[in-house]
Amino acid sequence: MYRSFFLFISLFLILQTQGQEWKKLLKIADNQQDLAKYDVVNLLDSTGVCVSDQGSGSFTIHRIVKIQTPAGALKHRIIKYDYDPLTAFAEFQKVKIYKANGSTKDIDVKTACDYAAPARAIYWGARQIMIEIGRLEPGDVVDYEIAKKGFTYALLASDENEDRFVPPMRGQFYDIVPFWSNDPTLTKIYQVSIPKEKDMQYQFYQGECASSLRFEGNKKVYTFCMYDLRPFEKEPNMVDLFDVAPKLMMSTTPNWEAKSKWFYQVNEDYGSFEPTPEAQKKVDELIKGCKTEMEKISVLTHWVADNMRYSGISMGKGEGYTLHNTKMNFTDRCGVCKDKAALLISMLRMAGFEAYPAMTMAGSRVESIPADHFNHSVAVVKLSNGNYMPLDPTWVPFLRELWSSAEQQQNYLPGIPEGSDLLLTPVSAPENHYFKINAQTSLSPDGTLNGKFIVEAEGQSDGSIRRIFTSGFMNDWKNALEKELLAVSPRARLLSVDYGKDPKNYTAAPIKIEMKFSIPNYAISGKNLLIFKPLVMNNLYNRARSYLRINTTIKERKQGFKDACSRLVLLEETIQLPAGYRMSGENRRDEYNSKVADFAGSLKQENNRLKLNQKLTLKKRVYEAEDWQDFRTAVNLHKSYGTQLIVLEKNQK
Amino acid sequence: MKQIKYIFFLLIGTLYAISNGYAQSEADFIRLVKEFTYKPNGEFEFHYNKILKLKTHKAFNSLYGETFVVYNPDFQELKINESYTRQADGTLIQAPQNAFNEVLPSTAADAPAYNHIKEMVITHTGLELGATIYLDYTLSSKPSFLSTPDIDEVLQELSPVKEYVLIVNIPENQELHYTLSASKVKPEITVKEGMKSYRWKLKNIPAAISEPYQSSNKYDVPRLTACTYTSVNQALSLFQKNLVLPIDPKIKEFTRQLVQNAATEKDKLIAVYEYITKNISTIGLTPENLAYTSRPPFEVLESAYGTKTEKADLFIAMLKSIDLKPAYVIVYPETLKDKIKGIKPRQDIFVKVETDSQPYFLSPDQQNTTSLEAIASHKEVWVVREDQIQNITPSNPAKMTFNCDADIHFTDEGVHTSASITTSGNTLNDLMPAFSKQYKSTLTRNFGTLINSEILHSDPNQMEIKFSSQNTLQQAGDYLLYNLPVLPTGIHSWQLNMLNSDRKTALELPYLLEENYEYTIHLPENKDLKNKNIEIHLKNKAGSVDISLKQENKTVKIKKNLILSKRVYQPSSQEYGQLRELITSWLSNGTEDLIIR
Repeated sequence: MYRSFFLFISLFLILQTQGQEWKKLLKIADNQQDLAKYDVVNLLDSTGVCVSDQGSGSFTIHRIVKIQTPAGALKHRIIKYDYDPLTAFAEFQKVKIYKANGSTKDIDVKTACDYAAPARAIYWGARQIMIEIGRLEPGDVVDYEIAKKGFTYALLASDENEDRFVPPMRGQFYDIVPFWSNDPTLTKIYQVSIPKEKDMQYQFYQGECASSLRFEGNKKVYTFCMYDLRPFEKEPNMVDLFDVAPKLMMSTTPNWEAKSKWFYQVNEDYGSFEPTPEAQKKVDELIKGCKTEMEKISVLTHWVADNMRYSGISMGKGEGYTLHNTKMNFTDRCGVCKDKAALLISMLRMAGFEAYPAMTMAGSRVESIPADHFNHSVAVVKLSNGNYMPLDPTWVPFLRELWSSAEQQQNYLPGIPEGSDLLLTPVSAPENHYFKINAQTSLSPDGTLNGKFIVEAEGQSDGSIRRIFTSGFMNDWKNALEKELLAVSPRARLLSVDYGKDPKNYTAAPIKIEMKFSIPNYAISGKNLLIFKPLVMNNLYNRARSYLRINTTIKERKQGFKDACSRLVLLEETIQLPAGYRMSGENRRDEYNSKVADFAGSLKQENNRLKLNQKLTLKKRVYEAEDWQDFRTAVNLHKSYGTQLIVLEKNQK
Repeated sequence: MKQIKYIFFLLIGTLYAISNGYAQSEADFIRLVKEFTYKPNGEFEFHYNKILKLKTHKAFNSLYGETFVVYNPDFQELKINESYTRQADGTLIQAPQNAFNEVLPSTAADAPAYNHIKEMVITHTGLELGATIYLDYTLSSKPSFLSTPDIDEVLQELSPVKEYVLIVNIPENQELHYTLSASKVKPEITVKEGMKSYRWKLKNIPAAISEPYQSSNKYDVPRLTACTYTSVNQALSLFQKNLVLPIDPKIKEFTRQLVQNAATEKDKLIAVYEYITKNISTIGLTPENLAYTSRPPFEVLESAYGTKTEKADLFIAMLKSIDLKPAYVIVYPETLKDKIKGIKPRQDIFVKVETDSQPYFLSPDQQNTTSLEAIASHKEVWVVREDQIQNITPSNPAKMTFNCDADIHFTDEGVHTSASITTSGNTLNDLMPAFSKQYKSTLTRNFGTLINSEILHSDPNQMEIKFSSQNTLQQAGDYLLYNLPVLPTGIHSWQLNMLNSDRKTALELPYLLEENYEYTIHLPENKDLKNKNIEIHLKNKAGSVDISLKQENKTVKIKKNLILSKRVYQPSSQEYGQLRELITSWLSNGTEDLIIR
């Protein structure tokens, strides 16, 4: 393995100097029959980084792509690359097309565009470079190089041009390199050289690669290589690719505590949380009448969540990593996650709490290697018992939570003065997100179903049900509610609905909606025979049942999988039968218990009523692959009460 | 007495406000002003002013946080005159400098030739419940094609507008042809300092509503179109010049190579159409963004992207180079029928071409089996040829008929079906072989695994598929359930199973429809059908539904017929309610599932 790798790299480097590496790689690709079905094949995906003493990186990105189909040609008619101009610089160095007919076309890199990228929600001036390749044909090969200097996040940098490329933690370097691709890749190389005196820790996760460390002059050169990559086999509802696919994490930062302390200090130094008289006035107004610490924390968190909208305008120098200060946040009343967190921290401090910012990664795991794998900013508040409690004003608008349970089992790093290791938000108990329907229905001999039901929900389930009111147009509420019934049957008639006086007021109580309805032709009607599905199992309020969007027909899984949230589903229906009808078939009772999912359900006839009970308990948001059988069994048992239809026969006596 | 009158008028006012949606609105436009000034020197100026009061969190969280202005700095200059927020307590928050950010509009993404187009994002700061947004800007254009007055404004926003003012200023010596549909408001016309000014003031325009299958004609929404063209022909002559341009030899050569293996003229057309729709990306910029200019067709070809108009230009150039005689087809909404209008109000562009005396109307954007009847229904259609610009009206409305004749046997192995499906109508054409393949795969979902199949085109407007398939039955206790298969096309492809009982806007169906099913079901000796016989006959102004289910010995005959005799259904009359009645009867009538034991 070592010898092959060394030979391969040597050959590659020799060929690279001759500019002919693409021909050899093309031949290798052409000899692999299974590659023919793909739109493109990456012959080479190479990134080289040179890290300076200050920690800034100069990147050379080299890609060679073989076009195989018209769709692949269309995908590559332009090449573009994103960068943040406040902290980075990027330009095309070379672009060549080796045509299938043997000719070569050089694209003048001076024709590249450099422009402010299309944007929504975040308007920080992110830029792109783009070059036109034009019409390609299957068999063409595109060979290009991009030079980039700098970083993604900014720092309180000086005016000097080069200093803007210095990363947030001066002198430190990190990188997160995915070693997967949506297209087959023949050769993927990542090489980084750092000053010899720097120590860098790294780990290659979820796969194997050839790696080496060499001393070259006053540099250490780390090289990582994988070859013959195929697109990672995805499964429906699987965890993020960062959690399961090959990746490289590296960092010169010694540990998470160092990062935590840095994050704390950089925002204190900037004054992100300095109070202002206007904001203090608002805080005093909001917490007036609050008796406990949790009441104060709650009212402030919900105010920031609901009233500071998500829209990021740039503070200029320092944007990206620096939390906007109170004056800017309170005046603008808008910002991205870090700015909402900042305003909340500031308001909590004005209310007398100790509060700090935290970084988190929504959607995938953060590893122990302290590379900056974060995409979201939140807050932590210190309670009177000394514990820190996480708060997320970005994810809880109109939710009855202070930390969104759509972020349970999620890593976060508080930026606190004493430093902190990486933490993990706990699983939220399913009872915190109950979803209940209690229905009283009555079936007529002609198959019409009449009745009423009450739907109640809490936590994330409350948010799903209440979304019609909090996010929908008010003049569409009635139609939206009617649609919940029309999802059961196009003939359904909503006779009345009661959702309380102010369904937008999520803080008052968990949502509760009562509907009365009539559905002609609900049951399949035969001669002295009715066949139907219980109402509560027939597409009613599926919006709150995220587990239904997980395909449980799959028998085996290789990867972990995710639901929107842990959940407790409680369904009860009492069905009044028409006179003389009885359920054919036995009463039914099922129970299943496991570490990750439980189910208890029954269907029984008592005199002229059928009683259906369902209790489904889904205990996590993020599951391991080995949890699949238990999860699937519980959910499929639950679903079977809808797929196994109820048959009523009329007593012929 | 006075008090009674006061209460009465208060009640009327409240009811009126509620009926106009004010009580239920997320925000209210207190005032909205759009002023179009066409100067004698060819310069054009657009002035915009809004005062918008926010009433709910949705208003500032997701609806009105930013204003986006797309412009072309090649010939336009944007000046923000004022932008501020008045908060609920009266505090004024001026928009800071960093609230104005220029980005590339997403409609210009991946289009290097148009990389210079800008989108100014104006972020409104200080927003809160009860805040009011004030915005005023001017967009000035140098003399260009935009110099010719050509206005099309649909006067509706996501929230109600209390006062909507439109002003058009033109040189005194020009004549403005205008139409304000769905409103009786007349303009106030004044002349001053060599300029003629037309001013419309409309009050209390209700908020836009989003409902499925809304008609693109927007019948009840005020719409102002205005231009100084003397006729539609004059406006559309812009397209004629492309038709008379000599063919670029490079396009000729490219097309020759593209079609070299095509045996017939129709095969050549298919090859070119496939290329245009699958090998050239479509860019979403409007002709107005580009001052009605287009890149030369060869540049579009070589760059592999273009606006819809540019793709139409290229399509035309390629068709001309293989000696076909294409024409542009421009579609306007029905509400502007017979009115003088410019280019801006057009809804769509197609290319018309004939092979073997069969006309095809083809979208340059995406593969579309369409016909004159389909695109002209409730629209006004103009065909632009080298030597002629003509308004055309099809002799028949767009209509499709679907017939399904199925012989079904229940066996121990499951259900065996032999069926013949005929699709006919004037929105179908045989141009796209892919259509047939796609259709076959969708049949499997409903009829089961196809054992064999054969597709026939007896004429361009008819397709027949004969097939046999195998399917399974569902167990329900001691009974077996069979879900009677339906066609994946026609009404079942429209997904009309969740039509609300109440509707505010016109509903427009893709075409008139007739669906006929005849099922003959053969039961095994030891099994009986448990469904009751059914007879349903419904007829109203929307059409008719006839359904019957009869069992005779071991044979069950099911007949279903649906006729929808209109395309557009207005909510104000009973039309929508009658359509809904027909559709719900069709979708839920007791024949969907057969019960056997």
